Amino acid sequence: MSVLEVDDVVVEFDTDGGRITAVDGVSLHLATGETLGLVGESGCGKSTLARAIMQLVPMQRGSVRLEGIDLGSLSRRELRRMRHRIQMVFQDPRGSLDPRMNVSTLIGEPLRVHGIGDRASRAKAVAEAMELVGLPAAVADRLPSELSGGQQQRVGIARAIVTDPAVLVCDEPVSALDVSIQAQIINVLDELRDELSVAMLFIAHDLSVVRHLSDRVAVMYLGQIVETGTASEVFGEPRHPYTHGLISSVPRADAESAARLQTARRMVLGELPSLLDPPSGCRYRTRCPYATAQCAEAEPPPEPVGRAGGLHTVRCHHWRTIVSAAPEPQESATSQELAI
Amino acid sequence: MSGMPLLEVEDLHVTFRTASGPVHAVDGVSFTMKPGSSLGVVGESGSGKSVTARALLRLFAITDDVQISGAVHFDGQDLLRIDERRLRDVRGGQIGMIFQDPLTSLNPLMAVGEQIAESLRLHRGMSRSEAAAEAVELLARVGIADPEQRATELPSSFSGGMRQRVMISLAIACRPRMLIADEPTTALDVTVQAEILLLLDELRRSEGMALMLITHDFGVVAATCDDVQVMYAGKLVEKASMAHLFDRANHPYTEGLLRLVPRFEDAHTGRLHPIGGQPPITGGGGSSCAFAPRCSYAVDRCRSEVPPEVAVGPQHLSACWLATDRAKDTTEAGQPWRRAQ
Amino acid sequence: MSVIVAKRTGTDPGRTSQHRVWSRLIEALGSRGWILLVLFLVLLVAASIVPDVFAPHDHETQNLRARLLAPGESSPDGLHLLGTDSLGRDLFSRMVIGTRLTMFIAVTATLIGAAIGVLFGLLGGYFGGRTDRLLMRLGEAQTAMPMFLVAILLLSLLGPSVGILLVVLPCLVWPIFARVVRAEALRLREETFIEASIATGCSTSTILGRHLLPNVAPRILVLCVVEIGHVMLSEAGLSFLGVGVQPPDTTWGLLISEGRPLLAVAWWLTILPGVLLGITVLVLNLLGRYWEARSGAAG
Repeated sequence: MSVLEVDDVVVEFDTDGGRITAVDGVSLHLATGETLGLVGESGCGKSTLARAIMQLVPMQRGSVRLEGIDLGSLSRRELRRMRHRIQMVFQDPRGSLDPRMNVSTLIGEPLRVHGIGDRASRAKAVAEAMELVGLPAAVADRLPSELSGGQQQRVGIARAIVTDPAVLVCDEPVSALDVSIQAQIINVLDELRDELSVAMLFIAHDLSVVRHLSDRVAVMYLGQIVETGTASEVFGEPRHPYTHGLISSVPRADAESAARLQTARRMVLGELPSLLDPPSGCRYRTRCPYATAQCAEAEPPPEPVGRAGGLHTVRCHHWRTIVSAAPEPQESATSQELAI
Repeated sequence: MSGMPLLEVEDLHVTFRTASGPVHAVDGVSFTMKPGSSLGVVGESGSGKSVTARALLRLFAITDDVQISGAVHFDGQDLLRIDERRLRDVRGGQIGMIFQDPLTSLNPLMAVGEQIAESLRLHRGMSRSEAAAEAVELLARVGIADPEQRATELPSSFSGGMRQRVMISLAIACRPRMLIADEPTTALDVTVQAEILLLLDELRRSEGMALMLITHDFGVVAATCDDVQVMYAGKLVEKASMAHLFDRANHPYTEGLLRLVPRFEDAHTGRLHPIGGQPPITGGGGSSCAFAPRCSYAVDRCRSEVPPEVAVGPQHLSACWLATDRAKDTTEAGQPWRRAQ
Repeated sequence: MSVIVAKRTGTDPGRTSQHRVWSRLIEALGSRGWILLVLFLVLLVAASIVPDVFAPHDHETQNLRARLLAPGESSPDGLHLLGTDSLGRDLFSRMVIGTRLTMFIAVTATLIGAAIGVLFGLLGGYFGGRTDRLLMRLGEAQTAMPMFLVAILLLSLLGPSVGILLVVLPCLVWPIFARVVRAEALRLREETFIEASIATGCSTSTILGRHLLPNVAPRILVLCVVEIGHVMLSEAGLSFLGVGVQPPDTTWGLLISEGRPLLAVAWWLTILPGVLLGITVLVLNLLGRYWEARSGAAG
């Protein structure tokens, strides 16, 4: 049973340059206890999607159903009452905490605003949440500014899980932290997954971290999900040229590192187009080494890869002809011309 | 020729005097770089890796109360002893430098072509028209499409990756013999990072520059550098060739750094292994191994004496009291931590 | 071994001269000076609560034989430290008695003004859009009008009374509070922790009351202290013009006004209450700015 169903969500923004479509028809679903990793580079719309799911930005189209309830159909008050079932962990650990509240007040606030439990049971829940995320009881009276970055993010996580939500949306929860702290926070999230049956939407640009934590993965490019499937399918046998380029770009500490970057450069050409003037047809065609005239004309629909009804889908006209293991791109000059 | 080092750093110390006491950011660092070689410097934030690079060129904010000692021989002169005017010739002339955030290093109100041309006129004595033409040439060389047009644009109209390319073209404008890159790709997306790293590697080979790359990511070093040195609390704790280090990381800190991050090639295989505790905020300068409080292998000696650098293999040094024993273990049984995963 | 030392330079560019005067004064206070300021305020508050402890004479007792005594002169009743007025009443005692009403009007009017300003500022800053434009236009319209003249007009039409003063004086200060709070609310609204509160499920009143208000509170307090001084000046001005507090009630402003016709023969009746008023306003200003500088440096 899907605890979260996101269907055909579109989010548009007005910017100085004009109207942009930050999220363009995204659908995804999350089962209880499952972790979906959402990867993509800056400007792909992954954070906007997270905010749309959280109903923090208005959607132009589509629906978000949490435990079967369409969040968009609720009144403001009803939505507020639903929020304890879906919580969010933010990128900036310090900024997401009220600087004038101490740790126990911050963690207890979601319980208080939702009227969950009495004073004593709330205090107990706060203590449990602190223990779960590895915060020593001694910091309960401290202000966020008196904590380290890692501790601040633990407070952010404790706040998000204290109401025992069905869905946890993590928006780049470790990217603002130092590497040694990142590992600690990743372990905290990993342990939470095992201990609570919370479904997690984990948004990050670091593919290694996403692979480490996720059961399934969705790859976003210019507001669309271009490929999705289990982590081993998407990262093991990528079908979309962009996924392939993204994976090859990850610097790894081994001897083939430089060769892999060469592959990445062949799979991701040129620069990211502006959202103000997105390419027609396939969004990726301007950077794709395999692009043909067809790609400019028609937008590729999500197609299932492998067995029918499988989870692995890709949005590419040519995925059948692209051999995922060893990409042999066509002459890049011709593809460049076609890609105009 | 082959034996002559381009850069020779001897016993470099950098101490900041702060309100809460002195901080030994760099504590007795020595290393050499040959012409055209590539060296990655790896460590957590606060390990002294950036300060080392800045100390080579005495690049400190005017508000820093800083004391530098030791010697930095570059091309026959000691950079710590030459006067400010000659140092300016070296900065940007013989040694180019790029930083994490290119926007703060570029003048926001000046077209990028002009900024490059200005440097060319200053360091290479070119005429105005020569410099303008060379600037366009340089922008093309770092992979900027339509360089004539883009040379006339302000830095704000460039994307993050393109700005870093502009910085690189500025850094190599005077054909430096060495390029120092301080976390050049940390702020960039991964596909853009791939391109910048390749560009740095290609430029190093085509221009014959030495490349010193400072980063926290072993993957970045693996893609661009032949040699690597790991810093902790202002000291070099391990030096090796990158190829050698993959299999035979010796120092417990290096091992910790390698285990710290999830490796992409591994699907989920259990918890990560964070290094407990925190690096000392006052830097080095103690009478023990600075890593001992966080080290799971530490013995009594580690807490009472500073370990010397020990050769544990060809071109491989490790500053650890257990280095020799650990070297034996790794050659016999491979990396214990790799098996554990 | 070569040693290179880069020196610290301390320049502080881009300050207005007015700003510089204040920071000089605050510097001159040093780390202990503010205790003196607080002590002065404590004395004022004490004088308004238990004036009889401080006043050497009964402030209403007239003694025509002891008229217009200069400061330091004595009458059969004893020493008149600050002299006497044209009816022979002890000036010092009258100033002590006047403290109560002066303080009461200034503090109450400021608090009322602050309450209105904070409410409008929070609503405007947080919601933005039409609410904000409406509230800010209102504030601007009021700032653009010569409010002091309007106040005089109002008071002369309705007849002066303390009650009306407590309506008119808050109108002079609320736009200042509204502007400051609105700017803070606008800034805080963009902070992630506000978004996090919404995501958590906080209601709007919780966000305004528990997140925004505590974060602007320090600035409001500082502003209150400074504005109390300004309101005091306005009240003195209105009383001086005869449309403020009416005898037999007395405030410092009224004392100044009463002494004015006699300025040539009895300077102390005007100058001394004036000096007290000036010092009080200065002390409040200094304290406010001192706290602001301290909290600014700490945050």
